[in-house]
Amino acid sequence: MRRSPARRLALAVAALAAATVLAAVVALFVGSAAIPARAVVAALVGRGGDVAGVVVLGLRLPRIAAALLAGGALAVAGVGFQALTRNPLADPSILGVASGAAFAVVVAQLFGVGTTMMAVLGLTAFAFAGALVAAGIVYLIAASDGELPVQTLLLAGVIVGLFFSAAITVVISVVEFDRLGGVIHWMLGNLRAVSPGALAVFAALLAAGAWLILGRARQLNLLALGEEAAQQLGVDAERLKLRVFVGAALLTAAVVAFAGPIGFVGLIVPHGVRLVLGPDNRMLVPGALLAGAAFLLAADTVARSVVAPAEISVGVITAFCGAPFFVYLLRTRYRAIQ
Amino acid sequence: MMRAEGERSVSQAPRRGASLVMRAMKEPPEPLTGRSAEQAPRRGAPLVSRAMKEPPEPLTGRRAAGVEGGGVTSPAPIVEFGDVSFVYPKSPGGFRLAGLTFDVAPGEILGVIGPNSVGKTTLIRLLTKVVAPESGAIRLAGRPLAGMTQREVARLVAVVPQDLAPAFPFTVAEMVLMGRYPHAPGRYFEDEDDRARAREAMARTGVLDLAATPVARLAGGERQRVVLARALSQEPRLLVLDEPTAHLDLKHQAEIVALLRRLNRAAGLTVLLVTHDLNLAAEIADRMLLLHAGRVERVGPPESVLDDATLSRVYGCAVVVDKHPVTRRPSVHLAWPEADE
Repeated sequence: MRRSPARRLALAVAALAAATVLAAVVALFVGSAAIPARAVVAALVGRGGDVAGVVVLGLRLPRIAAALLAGGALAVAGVGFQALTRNPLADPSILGVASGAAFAVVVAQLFGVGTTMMAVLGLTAFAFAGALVAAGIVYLIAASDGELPVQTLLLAGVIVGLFFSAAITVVISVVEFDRLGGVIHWMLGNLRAVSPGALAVFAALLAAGAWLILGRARQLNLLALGEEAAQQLGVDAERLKLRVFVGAALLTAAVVAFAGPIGFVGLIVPHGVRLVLGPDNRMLVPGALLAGAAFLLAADTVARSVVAPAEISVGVITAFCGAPFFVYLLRTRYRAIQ
Repeated sequence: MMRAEGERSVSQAPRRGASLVMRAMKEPPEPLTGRSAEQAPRRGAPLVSRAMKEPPEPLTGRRAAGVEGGGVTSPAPIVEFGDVSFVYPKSPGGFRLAGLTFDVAPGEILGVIGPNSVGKTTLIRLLTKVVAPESGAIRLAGRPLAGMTQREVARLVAVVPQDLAPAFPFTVAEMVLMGRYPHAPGRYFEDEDDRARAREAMARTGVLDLAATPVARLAGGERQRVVLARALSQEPRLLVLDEPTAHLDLKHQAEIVALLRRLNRAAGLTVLLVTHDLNLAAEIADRMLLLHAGRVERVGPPESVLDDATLSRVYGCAVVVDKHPVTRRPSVHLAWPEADE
C-alpha cells in the first residue's frame, strides 16, 4: 500500500495550514479602508497610527479569526452530518438544522441578549436547542424503518428550513418590524468583528465539537457500510451517532450564534477535500477543518471588498458557490451512488 | 524424411486423443468422491459433542483433536442458542422466532435454510447482538452474548452481508482494513501489523490486485470476495454468510464455494451459511438447520434434513430430492407446476 496514512495526513495538514495562513495574511491587507501595506505591518507590530491600528487590530484581525473559526466549524459539521446520514449531500443548511438554530437565536434576542461572554454562551445554548429540535423534526419526517432515504431526507430538510425561516420572519414582523432588513442580512450569514472574549468562547466550542467528531473518525468510516454492518464490525452505533450528532449540532449552533446561518460551506469543503484525500474520515475531518477555515475566510474577504465601502453577506458568496455545486453533485455523485 | 515424419504424426494422433478423453473422464469424480468419503466422520462429530455436553473451554487447537479423536475430546460449541425467542416489533402477531435451540460446533459448516421471511436474517442479527432476544439465552464461545460488548462479538463472529453499498468511495484496501477495527479500536490509524493481516486476507480471496480500486467499481463476484476479505481480516472464529451466491453466475458461485471449503479446511474456520440455495447448502454444509414458521424444523446432516415430504410441506410446493450426479450429495428439485388456472 502507498505512503503511510499518518504521513499523508501530516502532509495534507501542513499544506492546508500553509494555505490558511496565506489566506489570513492576504485578508489582513485587504479592506474598504485604504491602508497601505506598510501601515498594516506597523499596526501588527504595535507601532501603527490610530486609524490603521483600530482597523487592522480591532476590525480585520478579529473578523479573520471569526471567519476561520466559523469556516472550520461548518466544514466539520458537514462531514459529521454526511457520515451520520451516509449521504454526501447533507449539510447543516440543507438539513434545516441551521434554520432551526437561527430561529432559536432570534427568539433569544427577543429577550435582549447582550454581547457579554455569558450572553454569547446563552445564545449558543439557544441555537443548540434549536438545532436539535430542527434535526429531530427532519429525522422524524424522513426516517422510515431506521433508514434515511436521500430524497426524503433532503426534502424534509428543505421543508423544515423553510418553516423556520418563515417563523423567523413572523417573529421579527410582530415584534420589531424595522429590524426586518437587518435580520434578513443576518439570515444570509454575516461575519463581523467579535470581542476577544467571545472569540475565545467560539474557539472553545469549535474545539469541543471538532473533538467529538474527530475522536470517532475511524468509527464513522465503518458507519458508511450501514448501521448493522458497523455494529457487526464492533461499533456501538447508537453511542457513535449520538456523539457525532451532538458534535455537529454544537458546531452548527456556535456558527449560527456568532455569524448567522452561513450556507453550503459544509457541503462544498468536505466534497473538495474528499476528492483529494479520499473518503477516510480520519483524513477528512482535519482536512475539512483547515480547508473550511481557509475557504470561508476567502469568501468573507471577497464579501467585504467587492462592493467596498459597502459589503455583502458572506452567505451570499457561499450560496453563489454552493448552489451550482449542489446541482452538480446531485447530477453526478448522487447518481453514481444510486 | 518428410514423408516418414508425416506418417508418424498421423499414427500418433489417435493415441493422444484417446488419452485426453480418458483424462477428462477420470478427472472430475476423483477428488470429489475422495472428499465426501473423508468428510463422513467429521459430519458426525458435532452430534457427538452435543451429546457429551462438556462445559465450555478455550477452543484453540481443539477442533483437530476433536475430529481425529472421533469425538473423544469433544469441542465445546462456538454458538449455543437455548430456547431463543424473538418477536419482530413492527409486525404485530406476524413474524416471530420461537424457542430456537441449536448449536454450532467448531470447525463445521452449518447451513441454515428455510422459506422467505422465516427469520434467517434475524438469526444473524441475534447472533451478532444487533437485536436482543425476547427470551432465552445465546452463548458465544461459552460466554453469554448479553454480557459481551459489540467489539467482543466482532472478534469472534464476522458477517458477510447480502449486499454492500458503502456510502462513500472507499477503496478495496480501506474496506478490508475496516475489519481490523475490533482488534484495536483505540488506534487512529491501523498499524503495520493490521495492514499485513489485511493484505493476507485480500490475498486469500484473490483481491490483492484490486487494493486501490474503489469498491463501487467492482463487479458482483469481486465485491463478494472483498467483503469476504474484510470478514477474514476480522480474524473471526465463526464466519457468517448471508446468501453469499445471490446475484453470482455459475463461475463465481464455484469460486466462492471453493474458497469457503479452503477456509474451512485449511484454516479451521467455522462457517454458518444462511441461504435460499438448498443445493449449495446441501453441497457444502456438514449439517443443516431447517427453519419453518419461526421454529427449528429439523437439524442434522443434509441427507436427513432434505427429503421430499419435509421440504414440500415447509415450502408449500412439490419438491423432489435425488442425488447430485457427481458429488452424490442430496439435490433438490422443484416439480415445476403447469400454468395457473
